[in-house]
Amino acid sequence: MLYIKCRIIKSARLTGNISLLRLDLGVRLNAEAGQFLNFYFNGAILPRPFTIFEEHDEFVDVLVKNRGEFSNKLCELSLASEIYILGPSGSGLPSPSLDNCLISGGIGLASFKKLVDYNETSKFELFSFFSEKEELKLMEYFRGSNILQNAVIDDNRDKMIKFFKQKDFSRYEKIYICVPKQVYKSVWDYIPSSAMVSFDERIGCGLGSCLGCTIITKSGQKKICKDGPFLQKGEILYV
Amino acid sequence: MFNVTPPILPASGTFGYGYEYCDLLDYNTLGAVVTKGITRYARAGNKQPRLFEIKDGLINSVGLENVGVDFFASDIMPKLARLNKKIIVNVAGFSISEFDYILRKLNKFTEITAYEINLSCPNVTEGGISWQTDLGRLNKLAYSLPKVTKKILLYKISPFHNILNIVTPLRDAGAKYMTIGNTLPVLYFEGQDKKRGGISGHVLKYFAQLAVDKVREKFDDLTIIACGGIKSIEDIRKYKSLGAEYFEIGTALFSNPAIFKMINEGGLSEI
Repeated sequence: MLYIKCRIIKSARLTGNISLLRLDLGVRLNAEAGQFLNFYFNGAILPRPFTIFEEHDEFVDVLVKNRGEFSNKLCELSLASEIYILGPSGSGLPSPSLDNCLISGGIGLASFKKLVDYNETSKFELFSFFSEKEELKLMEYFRGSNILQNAVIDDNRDKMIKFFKQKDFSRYEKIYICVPKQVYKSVWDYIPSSAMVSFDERIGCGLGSCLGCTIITKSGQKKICKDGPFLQKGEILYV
Repeated sequence: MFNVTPPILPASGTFGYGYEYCDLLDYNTLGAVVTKGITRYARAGNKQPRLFEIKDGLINSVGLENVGVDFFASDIMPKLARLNKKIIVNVAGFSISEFDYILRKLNKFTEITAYEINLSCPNVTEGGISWQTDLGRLNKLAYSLPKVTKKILLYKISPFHNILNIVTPLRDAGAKYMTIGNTLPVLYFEGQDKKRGGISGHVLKYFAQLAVDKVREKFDDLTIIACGGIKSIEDIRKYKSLGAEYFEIGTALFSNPAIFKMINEGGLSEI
């Protein structure tokens, strides 16, 4: 776990409200799939988590969607701007099996990039839901021969919810889900117990000490910043 | 006598049980480790969401989640013992007998230099606030605890406007150390849902500064540990000028995990 200053060396607007930021950390993180960095910036009291999308030696890429003041200002930072990060946080995704299902909403697919890149012998069927047509560009990062893509434009989340209610998940050995909190809460009963779901709670300390992000599971309290953000659905007592 | 060097400490609740920052911080930048609140029985805490950021602070409704004193004694204390650091255990009881049990359970640990008696956790529906509103009960507690332990007792209080009404019965019962102050109880809206929590951070500083000033003005024989919105060496200078001798840092740790190092290097030794 590191708390370090890093420089923004690339800030590329991929769509109207999604950017890719590349950070020069000066060290290699060797993060696991699904882990994230906590960003400290703009005088915010709490850090903001961003999934580690890709690593290139000591450079790390994250995807940022403009959602509010923090993300808007982050994307406006000029190159060579310095910010602090803490990470890598979270416990990373469990290894995939041969046949895997990935479900993402918006930039949720960032969590799956390392998973698909580092497991070339596994097959992944990716279902990605986007609110705008230009977000389909993100699928270009998932062109590996081990990935079967299904991209859907879904501006009001109706299609994503309908998907969960109708999908037969029985043929997949592993299922990974990274969708907005309102979605996973509304389709909770349709998510298989074995599925790994990314939980979205506010982060305080980022390293498992403040208990601000704890959720209660059958095997005790789990901290999203340390034991998550992906947890097995069947373990969760309530959302 | 209470004596920790450097005179800065983490505020209970922000530093876990005390070992979680081992890989990140130089523990020589802290005078002691302060644990999160320990209760008689394990507590799951409140449902999510538990954190609510505001412009100049934070509202939390963690709800005293902790493993309970039995597990703390058997499994956590051995980890803390390896830190080679003075340990202050924050203790939250809902009755005098609970405080009694917790202190007796932990007395054997020589690494524990003090108990911080949590009188003011606003996030639970019993015990926390009632200690500070039932002064007769508070006075009884303050008389009973020194009979249970020889360790130092710090009393942690919210910086209410009537803080002298709370401090006086404690001092009358022999209390020598006050942590001023814990979070203040507030009500906020999470969407349409109303929630209660404790407010901390920069906004708390102004209440805590007044409380420290009032207590020092009335009593010159109490040692005051200031707590509330500290995020710079300047904040510490101001609290010191009001009469505090030690300083707890909490919410600022979330926005700057290097804050203890920063304050040490910012001239702490000259204050």
